Amino acid sequence: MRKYGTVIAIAFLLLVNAFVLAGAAFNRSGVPDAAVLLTERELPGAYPLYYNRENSGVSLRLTWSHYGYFWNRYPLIDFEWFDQRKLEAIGFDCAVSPASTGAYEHYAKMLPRKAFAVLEYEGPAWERWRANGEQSIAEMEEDVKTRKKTETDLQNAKKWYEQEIKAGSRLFVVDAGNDPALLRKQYSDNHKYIITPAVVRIQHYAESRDPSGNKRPPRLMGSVSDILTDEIHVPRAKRAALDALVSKTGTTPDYSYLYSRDREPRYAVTLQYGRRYEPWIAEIRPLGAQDGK
Amino acid sequence: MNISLTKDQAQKRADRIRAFRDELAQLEREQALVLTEDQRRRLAAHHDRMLRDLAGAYDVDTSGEQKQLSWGMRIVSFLGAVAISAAVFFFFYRFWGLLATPAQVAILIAGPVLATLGVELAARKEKTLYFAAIIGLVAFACFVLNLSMLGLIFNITPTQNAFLAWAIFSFVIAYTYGLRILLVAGIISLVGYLSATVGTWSGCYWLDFGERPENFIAAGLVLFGVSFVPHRGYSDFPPYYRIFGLLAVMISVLILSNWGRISYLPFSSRGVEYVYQTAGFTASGLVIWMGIRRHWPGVTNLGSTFFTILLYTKFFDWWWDWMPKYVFFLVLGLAALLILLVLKRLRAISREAQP
Repeated sequence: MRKYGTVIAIAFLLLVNAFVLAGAAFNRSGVPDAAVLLTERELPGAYPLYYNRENSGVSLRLTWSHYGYFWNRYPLIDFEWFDQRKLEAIGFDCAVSPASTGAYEHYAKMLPRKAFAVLEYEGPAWERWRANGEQSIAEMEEDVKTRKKTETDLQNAKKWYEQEIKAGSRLFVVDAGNDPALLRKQYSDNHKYIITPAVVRIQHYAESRDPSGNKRPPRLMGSVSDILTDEIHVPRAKRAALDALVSKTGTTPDYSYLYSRDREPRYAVTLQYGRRYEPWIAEIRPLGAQDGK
Repeated sequence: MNISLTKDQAQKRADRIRAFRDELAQLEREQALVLTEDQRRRLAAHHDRMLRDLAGAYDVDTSGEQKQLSWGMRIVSFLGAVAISAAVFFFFYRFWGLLATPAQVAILIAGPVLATLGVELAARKEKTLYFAAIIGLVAFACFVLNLSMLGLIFNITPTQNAFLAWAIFSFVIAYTYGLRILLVAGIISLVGYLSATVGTWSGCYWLDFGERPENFIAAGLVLFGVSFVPHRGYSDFPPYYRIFGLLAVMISVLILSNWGRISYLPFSSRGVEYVYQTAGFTASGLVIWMGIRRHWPGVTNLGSTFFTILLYTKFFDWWWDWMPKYVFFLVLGLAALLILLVLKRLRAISREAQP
């Protein structure tokens, strides 16, 4: 072993690296599976950029989640399509009836699974989100008249909604499945739909009422909890627009953009996905006032 | 000295010579055995020559002071290796963003390759292998950085296969140079790979393998099984497989005996805890018995420790809330005395079996 060990170790290192690089090259070969033009709204900096002296790398984070409810009325993100049938298709064992005793504990124990999620950009899900927001504000205005809510509540809600319209992500999860090729057939517009590896979970919902007051029986619903490659590296060659932002404005494109919501997006990103459904940044360009994004 | 030995065997021989010399001196003082001057001179010359040869060929410790210094050197070399590995990581993180992608990839590949060559160079220059061990650990760290950063640069979907690659590399270096620190790195990486892979068999996403301790039980049993594979020329390696394998199993059983909710078993949490408590006590007992039978002191100690920890956690569960605290700790102390008596009895039985 001593005679050949070093050679074996080095050969193994080179082989593994060749395999990894070949996989990356395969992913980027041929026609991209998706090529979507996003903005800083959907791809803010992954962490405070340029402030972190210990890490000179730059990444953008794919932002897509809108959990919660519009002031307890309408869900911010709609997972109604992720019903029991779809959960079973993905591979979750839903044999225990949601209405049975112990169903909550049974399903709470289930571990998440890997699947593929479909992200829709500025499509019907975004329009529904806007409509729900407007409806919620209209209902809140009525609540203010009947003193169920205060004027301050209404102004805060309007401010939050306007900020989301101006600066929130327009990416929504609209479907999930195990077969990415089948999903691509169903969502063929690859400038609007991204198919990407994700982690999906099963959740048990007890008996409840919908926004209209109708009774809903216990049910199972899925959710997409993580996109597996949501932190996307920015190669040195593509950083010019981000570097210019830092030098021109003195502010950096960082994750706090998501929280401040006080400005228009400053750059557009062409994000491509390859044959292994792994992303890369094709281009970053600065956005001007004329872009209207 | 013509016989080919491993370093471990050579060290044991040197230890036996030292112990024999001490015992012979004591026997002479007690007048139980007195050698003639000629015998004493020839024995001393033979042992001196033996120790010189062993120290020269295998760099063994020939005195108690040397042994203590060797332990110190091992600790220092480990800490040094960890510090240098951290320096490599942070150095790369500091400057990688300023480089173009081809340069990043070239540096990431060159790092572990050069470090591996460094291990070979160090092993040829210095037979104690302390420096080879340091550089070997740095090579491992460079390989971890290599694959992690390639994943980041090319946005590759993470998989557990990286653990397997790290394990294989570590084992190659460990078995090439007899470096136990690389063996441990390989074992830990292998446990990660096996546990994650077993986890995926149930359909879950691999990164959630930690949420089911049974995944580690499977990995631990595999490692324990590997310890029975003949290791000619590496006699000090099987104990590491045994101990880490048992640790993986015992820690998982300990966790599941207290948190049954995170088990694969389709029982209630309480039911799972009863199952694993029973399994834990049984397994600890079996491990102690096996350690005594096979003369594996590390295994016996591990079994005793886990038996005691398991017992104490159950005492806490049953009695902490309602028992007066002084009574609780008194019970713990009495339990420890009882365990001590049992172990003493087992030792006496072992002594009778092997005088």
